[in-house]
Amino acid sequence: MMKVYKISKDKLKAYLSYLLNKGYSIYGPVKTTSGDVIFSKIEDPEHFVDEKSTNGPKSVVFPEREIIFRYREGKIIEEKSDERRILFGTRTCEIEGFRMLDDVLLKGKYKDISYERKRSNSIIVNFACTKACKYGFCTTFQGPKLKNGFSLQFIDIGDDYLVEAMNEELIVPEYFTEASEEDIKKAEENINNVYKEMEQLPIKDIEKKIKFNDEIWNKLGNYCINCGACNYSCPTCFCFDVYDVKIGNEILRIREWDSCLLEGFSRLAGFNNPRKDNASRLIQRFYHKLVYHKLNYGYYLCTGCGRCIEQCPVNIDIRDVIKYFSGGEL
Amino acid sequence: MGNTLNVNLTVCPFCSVGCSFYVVKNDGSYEIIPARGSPVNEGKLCIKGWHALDFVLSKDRLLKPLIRRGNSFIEASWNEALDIVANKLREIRDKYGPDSIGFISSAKATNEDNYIFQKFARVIFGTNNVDHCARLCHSSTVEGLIRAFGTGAMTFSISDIDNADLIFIVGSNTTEHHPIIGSKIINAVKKGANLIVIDPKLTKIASLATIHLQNLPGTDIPILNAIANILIKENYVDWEFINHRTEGFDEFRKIIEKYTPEYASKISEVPEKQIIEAAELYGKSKRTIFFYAMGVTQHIQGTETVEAIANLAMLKGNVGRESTGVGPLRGQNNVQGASDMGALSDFLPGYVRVWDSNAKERIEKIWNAKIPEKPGLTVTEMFEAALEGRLKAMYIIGENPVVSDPHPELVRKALENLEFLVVQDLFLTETAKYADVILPAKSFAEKKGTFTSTERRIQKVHPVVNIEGPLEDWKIITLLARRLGYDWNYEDSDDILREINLVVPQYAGATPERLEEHPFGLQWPVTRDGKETKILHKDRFTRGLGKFHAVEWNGYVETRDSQYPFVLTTGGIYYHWCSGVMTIRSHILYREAPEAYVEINVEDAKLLNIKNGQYVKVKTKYGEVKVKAMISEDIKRGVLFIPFHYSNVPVNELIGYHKDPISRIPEYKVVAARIEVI
Amino acid sequence: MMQVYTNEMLPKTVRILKICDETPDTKTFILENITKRIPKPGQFYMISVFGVGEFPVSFGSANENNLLITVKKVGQGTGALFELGENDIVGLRGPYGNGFPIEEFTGKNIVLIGGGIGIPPLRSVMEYISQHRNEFGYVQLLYGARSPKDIVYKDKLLKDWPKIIDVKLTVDVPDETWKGHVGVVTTLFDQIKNLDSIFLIVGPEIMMRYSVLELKKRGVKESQIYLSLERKMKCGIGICGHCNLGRFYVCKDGPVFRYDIIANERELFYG
Ligand SMILES: Cc1cc2nc3c(=O)[nH]c(=O)nc-3n(C[C@H](O)[C@H](O)[C@H](O)COP(=O)(O)OP(=O)(O)OC[C@H]3O[C@@H](n4cnc5c(N)ncnc54)[C@H](O)[C@@H]3O)c2cc1C
Ligand code: SF4
Ligand code: SF4
Ligand code: SF4
Ligand code: FES
Repeated sequence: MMKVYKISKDKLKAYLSYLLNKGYSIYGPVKTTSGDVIFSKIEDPEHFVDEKSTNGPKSVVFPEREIIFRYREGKIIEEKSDERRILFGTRTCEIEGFRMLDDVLLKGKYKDISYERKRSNSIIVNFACTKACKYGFCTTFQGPKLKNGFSLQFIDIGDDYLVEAMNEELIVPEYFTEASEEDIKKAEENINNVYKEMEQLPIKDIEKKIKFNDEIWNKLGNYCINCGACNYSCPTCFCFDVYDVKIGNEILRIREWDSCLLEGFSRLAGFNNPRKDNASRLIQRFYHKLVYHKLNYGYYLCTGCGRCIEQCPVNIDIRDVIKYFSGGEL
Repeated sequence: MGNTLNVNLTVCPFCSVGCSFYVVKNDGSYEIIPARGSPVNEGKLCIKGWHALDFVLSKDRLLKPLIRRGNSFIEASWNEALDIVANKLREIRDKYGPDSIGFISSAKATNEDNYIFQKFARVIFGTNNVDHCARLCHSSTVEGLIRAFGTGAMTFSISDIDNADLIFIVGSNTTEHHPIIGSKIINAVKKGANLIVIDPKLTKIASLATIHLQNLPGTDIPILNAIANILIKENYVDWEFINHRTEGFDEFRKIIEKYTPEYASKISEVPEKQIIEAAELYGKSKRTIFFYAMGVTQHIQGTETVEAIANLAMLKGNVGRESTGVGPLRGQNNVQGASDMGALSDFLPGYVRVWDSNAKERIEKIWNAKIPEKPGLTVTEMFEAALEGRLKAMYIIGENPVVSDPHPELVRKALENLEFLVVQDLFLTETAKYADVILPAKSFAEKKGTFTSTERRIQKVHPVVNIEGPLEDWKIITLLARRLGYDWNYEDSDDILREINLVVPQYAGATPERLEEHPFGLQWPVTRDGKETKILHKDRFTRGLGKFHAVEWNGYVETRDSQYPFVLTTGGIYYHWCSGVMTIRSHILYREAPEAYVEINVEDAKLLNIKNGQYVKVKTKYGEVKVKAMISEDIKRGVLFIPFHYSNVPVNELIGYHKDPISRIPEYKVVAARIEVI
Repeated sequence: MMQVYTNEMLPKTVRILKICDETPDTKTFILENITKRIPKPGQFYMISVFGVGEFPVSFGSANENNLLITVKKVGQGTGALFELGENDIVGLRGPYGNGFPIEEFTGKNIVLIGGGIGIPPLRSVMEYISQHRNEFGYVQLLYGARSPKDIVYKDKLLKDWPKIIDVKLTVDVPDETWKGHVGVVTTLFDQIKNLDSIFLIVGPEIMMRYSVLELKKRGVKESQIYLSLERKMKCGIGICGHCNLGRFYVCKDGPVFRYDIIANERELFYG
């Protein structure tokens, strides 16, 4: 059962120190002096900020590049990581992405064991947003607050955070007190603010409205510079490539994030390619998110985090695509 | 709550746009995070940027110094290797004189590295034989723009693109070579800006152009002159600007009269109508930005083409105002900085001519040394001198001339001819294989220092990856200097930057502390009190008045004939960088473009009965290569294109011996060729 | 019961027992079948040449001890496999994919249509048919190769199989020795005996496209046709995303598809 507590903002740093001292590895959003917020290992509680990071936590459970195994003298040696860590200060659009990755990587006939290890070793302390971010549109999907899938969830209620606890593992009486009805109401109000501030997109039945044969694909394809950012930045993109690297007499099999906007992603022998141009690659990306995944899993493969919009050098915007196929203009 | 320092902020090592990103390490794996705060990349990166660490983490990195033993190398300690280098260089200098040694610096190394290296050559060895690859890509820019405006650098800032109403691109495949600038141009076009592109290929950026002038390679001058001619005739020019801020107009005007649209069209094969339309579009524009790149500079008339672009800009007062200007798109990430630092055989730091004894004095005082008046050998001349036995030793940092310079076979012979060769690199490159001593250098990701981007932005990088073994370039040089009896006691790259602040006026205020406060850099000139400069030549050109140059098209040095009916041009592609050393070590970048090819127009291919993917021979008077054919609709008929990244298809063996007489840049872009089916 | 998962991305190391040349660019490899599992006709394995990479290959024939695969040299991985010799080690994962639902074809007539290196999966079907010959009706195999020297499994096609089924061969480019049919495989379609058969097609996408077209012209229903598709595959188990064809993953939902299910997929029959 979920319990509700609260913690004073003044105590947050001390609480983080406490967790660090207990020996947890902690990853979370930190602010650099240049003003950017990046999700990385937190060494000093002072560095933590309650803000959405550029990259998010995906790489902590699904690294950009990781060794699957080493092969030496005819033997295969599995790489295992069992660092127990807390992801402290994630956003709902990121953890909702984890849930989607789980469906693909852990709930099929075969499991992605490397992912599972890192995932199951990660304790989630989510911070629900109470303000709309610039590119996000999470209210089109799950909204800014998680219903489950976390250990703790913090919601800003002014001087305090309301804390929803799915389990007591990280609850320490020293820092947490009982929350009142009023606190809970305040949290609800704050969450609702996001719904008010953010535009809700006409997502309903988009899978039926979107079309292959439309000039939009060529148009966007002409702009796309194949940077891969829309995939690399996305909390729900899971595609990876696999390759071998030789070092001396050892061979590493590595998996690395891949991008379906790249030509080599789908290229076969003899330079045959089912997706020869940018238009068909963009179709793949948007159809995967808005059609195929919905047909297979019942929901869209997007949490509305807005990262693909923010990081696309040529401003290709999934919101525009959704609106366009729901009868809007581009 | 508090801030962490920018300890994990660095700058992309590939092109000269200067995109910033952070690097974080999670549980053994590195992640690249584009910097949102950077006014340059604004949270975006191109595919190379996303893969900028791949080569750094490559398993082929050199970790220990190597010393030649016969035909192979043995590992050595730093002490051993440095002793050998110091002794051998001293010996050669004493025996053959200062000018018997050549130093090739690197546009991938930091400003501090470059500064120290040229100082090493000039002060300790007493020679101006120090140069770097800018010679091969943008020396014509330095010359051309210094002659026209007084400063050899981009006159505006990348952010000016947003508000230009016309972007005029000459010979730059911007989305592939400077992708983030390319993307900004695309975004401007989306918002309604016009775009003119002069390029023999229908590149992505050309496909988005309002007008694409698809010319024969090397025929930019007639088109630019014809446009200028129309502007004057139609009175589209800014007389006020011409009268008050420029000189040389009348002479220029006289010369271009003969460049009618018909004439330009005949030479360039661009329809007359398009040239007129382009002139009108430019004529009506209020704020035009010009970009050009190696399609212009690596040409026998490179300097003059740069001048022709400058002419066109000045005609309408498109210099020194917001969202106007002339923008050379430099190649390597620090080619601007390496030039600023005087890693050029004819310039001291801050573009002081080596023969300009007045200006030189100031630097000589700081260095406490006399610097020779005689310009040194350029990169290409060094190899010529080595071939002839005049040059006895070379010290090459982070460059791979065996692949990237013209005539690899001669470069190889030249290297073999040397008594002593030191190569300082990340990898055992084709060039390093010829070395007597190989010194393992740190990459951008392992060191502190500054880089200067194409928009004159000086940015500080931090060590984001730790690799045991290699040393910083400046550190290696300092250790050598001490062995040679100089008490160089730089402990940190900041110490060197402080000296640069003194020596290079443009960098006066770019102190280590200030650059820490401005993590995304300051654009030079930075005054002593820290004011940066977004736009050059605002009220006054650096040289006083802007100068019109009466430039003429000299015709082709290489004319096509029945033997060699094609024009071959070479260039880079999106996924690779330079000689490929860095990018082939990235799985994804390599996968995207694993093989060289020759691009040929569909119609030409049909006539010659060449099929897509088939192996063909491309021959010029100078050499031949075997390569796969790629049939395309995007390349002009009569033109062939081969990317220069692949060491197994050494296109630089195909190019001629012609050089721009002014900047001494070799002609890479135009050579008559034929193609044969095998 | 709790299911115990193993890391499916880890291959088993197996020995190459035997190698034979099939055509100038195609070889057959017999590998140890150390898991002793007998795959279903149409399934595939991921083969690793350590240090070079991993790629999908259909099996042609299998028993408790051996797995037979036939590979055409087209690139790095296949090229490296060709460099290996008997007793060398390769990595093996699988079998993966659905395979042909061969039990459902009991009592039916079957037409197998193959082109080029598309034959190994058909061989696996043939193995099943020969062991259960009387469970099926009239069986035909139509196979097309570029030239006579490119015919894979000559012994099977010319000697063994004609004893139990009707085999028809064709080549695009004949040589002096060739006395048989000349033309693409669809030119054999007039010799199809029963249009009510189940049609199993494996080959280059373009050949499958024309085969389907010709069959449909002749009144064959889409649901009578099965195709085995090739897409880039990096995991083989439905997680890497490379083999996406519309909503399907060719590695786990295929590689065999009943045609009517994928008929409208945009990327089918690309090229
Ligand atoms: C289900 C299935 C069964 C197959 N069965 C056989 C078979 O029985 N016999 C046979 O000879 N071939 C078979 N193939 C094709 C075989 O997998 C490819 O020829 C092989 O992957 C090429 O690898 P390579 O390393 O030699 O080529 P590479 O050097 O990787 O590259 C050559 C080209 O092949 C592409 N390529 C890379 N990986 C794959 C891949 N997994 N699938 C297809 N193309 C790829 C590359 O992008 C590149 O363009 C099958 C493919 C699939 C999907
Ligand atoms: S598709 Fe874009 S908005 Fe949606 S989850 Fe991915 S990155 Fe976020
Ligand atoms: S982020 Fe934009 S430019 Fe980059 S691959 Fe995606 S759509 Fe293309
Ligand atoms: S545009 Fe240039 S600097 Fe920016 S990421 Fe790409 S290669 Fe690096
Ligand atoms: S091969 Fe990885 S999902 Fe199919």
